Amino acid sequence: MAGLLVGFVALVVVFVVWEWYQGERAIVVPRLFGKREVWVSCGFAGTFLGSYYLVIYVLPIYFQAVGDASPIMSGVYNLPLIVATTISMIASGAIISATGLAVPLQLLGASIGLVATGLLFTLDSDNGVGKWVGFQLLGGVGWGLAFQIPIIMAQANADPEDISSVTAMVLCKLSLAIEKKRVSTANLSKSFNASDPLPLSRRHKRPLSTSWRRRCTLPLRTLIRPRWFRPAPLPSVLCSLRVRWLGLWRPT
Amino acid sequence: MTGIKVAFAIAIAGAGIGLLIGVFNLNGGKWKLSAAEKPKDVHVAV
Repeated sequence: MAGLLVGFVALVVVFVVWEWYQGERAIVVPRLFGKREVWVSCGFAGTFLGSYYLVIYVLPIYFQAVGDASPIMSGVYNLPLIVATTISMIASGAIISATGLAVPLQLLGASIGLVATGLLFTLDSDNGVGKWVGFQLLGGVGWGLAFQIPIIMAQANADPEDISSVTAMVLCKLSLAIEKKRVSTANLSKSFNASDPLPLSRRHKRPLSTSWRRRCTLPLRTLIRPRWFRPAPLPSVLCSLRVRWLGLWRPT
Repeated sequence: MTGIKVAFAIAIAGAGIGLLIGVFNLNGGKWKLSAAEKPKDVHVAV
């Protein structure tokens, strides 16, 4: 633990020195980072959008660990969040293009996102479908509304020759936040799960409706799997993979 | 379940700080983009 902390501080120092040494060629250009619109956008991307990626990483773990869903189905159960985010993101771009109101939309999206994360926190081992679908839809609307605004704001207040630099800075901060939250928190959640499993009396109470699951997997069970996977014997698949593998590594 | 709750709690903290930054931006930042500042193809490409 101490090694990690010391390593973190040392890497931050090295990063700052390197950025200072690079000057105008750095990822975080000091001249641009000093602008209010840029550093506020970086902070917003690092916190609010980082929480989106954290939720999108933890929810499948929740579905698998608590709802006993398969990895594929945990992705399917995540679709309300993805679809709502996508539609909301498109709507957000259209609204900003039409009205120019970016900051109020950012605040609205952050408010809805905060409410949605609070509601997701209330998810337990015995929820109805309406809860986890509704909470994801609400969160998707909030995150989608505010998702592009940091980049829009940073680009809108930059000179044409600085647009690529400010975009890289916002995306860099976003990527750092994603990895920081996703890796550290998800590993934390997994370690907690290992040492603190559900009580035996509650393990059978799955939060996901069986009929919902059966409806979602119907195409896979009736159409895709029997026609494409069963007739293909495993050795032939492995042989074809091996041929491809050898072809890839054949010296030229 | 505790770990997942911890993860969601950190997500709440992140979204809360994001909301505070939004309020800060609303307080002193520029509310409305001018016609020249509205998103164009660069934003779409990103």
